[in-house]
Amino acid sequence: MMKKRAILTMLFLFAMLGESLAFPNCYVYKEDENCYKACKEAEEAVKYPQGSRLSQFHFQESVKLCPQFAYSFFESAVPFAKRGQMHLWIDLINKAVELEPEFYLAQRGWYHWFFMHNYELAIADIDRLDAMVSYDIGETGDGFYHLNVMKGLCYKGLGNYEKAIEVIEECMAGPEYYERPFDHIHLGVLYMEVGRLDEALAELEKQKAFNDVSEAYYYSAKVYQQQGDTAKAQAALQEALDKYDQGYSMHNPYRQLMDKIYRLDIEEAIAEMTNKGN
Amino acid sequence: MIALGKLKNYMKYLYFTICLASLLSCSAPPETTRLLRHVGDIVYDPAIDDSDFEPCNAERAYQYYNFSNAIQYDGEKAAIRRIFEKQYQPIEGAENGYVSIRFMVNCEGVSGWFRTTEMDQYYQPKSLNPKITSQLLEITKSLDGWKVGINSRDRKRDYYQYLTFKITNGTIEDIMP
Repeated sequence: MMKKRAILTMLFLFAMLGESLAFPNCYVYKEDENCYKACKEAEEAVKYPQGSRLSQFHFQESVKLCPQFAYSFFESAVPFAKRGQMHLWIDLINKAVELEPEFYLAQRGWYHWFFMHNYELAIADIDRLDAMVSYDIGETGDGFYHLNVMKGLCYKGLGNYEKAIEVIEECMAGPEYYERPFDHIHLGVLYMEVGRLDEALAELEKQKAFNDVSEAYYYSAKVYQQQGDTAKAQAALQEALDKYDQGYSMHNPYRQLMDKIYRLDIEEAIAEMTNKGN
Repeated sequence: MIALGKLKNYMKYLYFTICLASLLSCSAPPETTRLLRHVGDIVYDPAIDDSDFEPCNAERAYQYYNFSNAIQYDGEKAAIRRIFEKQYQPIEGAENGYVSIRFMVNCEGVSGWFRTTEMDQYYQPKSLNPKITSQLLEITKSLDGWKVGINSRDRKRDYYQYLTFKITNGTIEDIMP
């Protein structure tokens, strides 16, 4: 449990630090003077706060020196996405993808999903990447999802629950797969939504064992309700509330994650159940 | 005559100094002058902004995510979702797209300086039915539960926030972040 908590804390800290990609080794560009200088400009850019005038300026200088330097296009695009300006993000990220599709398709696909719930474009990017490489396509930039689990969630967003389950199950059965913070809750909720209630409960139990968040109890309550077990549902909702108040929930500093619930959702579910009982 | 000659020389000197000063003042790369203090900063526009709204210190404004929470609102995002579910009237047959509303929450928790962007699925400019955008803007302006941003030194700070609405067939499919 301690190890899992440590991993989750590291993931969270990584997310807090701004999901900057590993900085390129400038010596790779030593043969090309302008691109080497562009790399050095990018080195300057990351010394300043992300999105600040000087940071953006150095990134601009960087791509002027070497218009093939994809890293600077990508990094200068990031603050626009985080700050809700996708119309200013898109041209920069498209340029990065055009230059290095194998590396930046995953980033663009993730952002389409993460910031805009743009499921079609996210799936298109992940599929394109998958067709391009022979290795495991890896995870989202914050490490919270395997890209194929994310793709499955995109199918869920499009209302295709069966396809979502198929994609996620296939990913989880793969040799490269390992559990990430919220995988089980997403699969559990999907099972619940298609009426596979026992499998839903089993998956939600796995979630509790791996990362004990309020949502696992909330959705367990929903399953118990469907099974007609009001007593268990009420108990699970109370546990959901307790966990929530203790700070254990699907937290992300940038957005509401899919399947996340809030205190108000739990309160309303409790009230609804109480009213039905009266 | 001598005095007039000296005056001409002074004028030439003054003219040269002014030119040099202008040149030096423009020596910073033009891009830096076009870039804002920070990506996403909103500049007050008296033509559209409420003059009653004042940031406490816009130069030190934070971003919403600096407080580790995507939405800082009484009742959290669930409360915001309920408000839109209750007040927004779907526009039947209207097209799809995104409406993004960016604004500032000042150090007293009051919102202002609203900026709206309408986009298609590819984030290209697109004008949606004005009844959609005007409703979203008015409801967003009426939200009065924004929490004050407190930094790690316990100081109140202004911050930038946004709400992006995914519109499908004139209804709100989703609200981000």
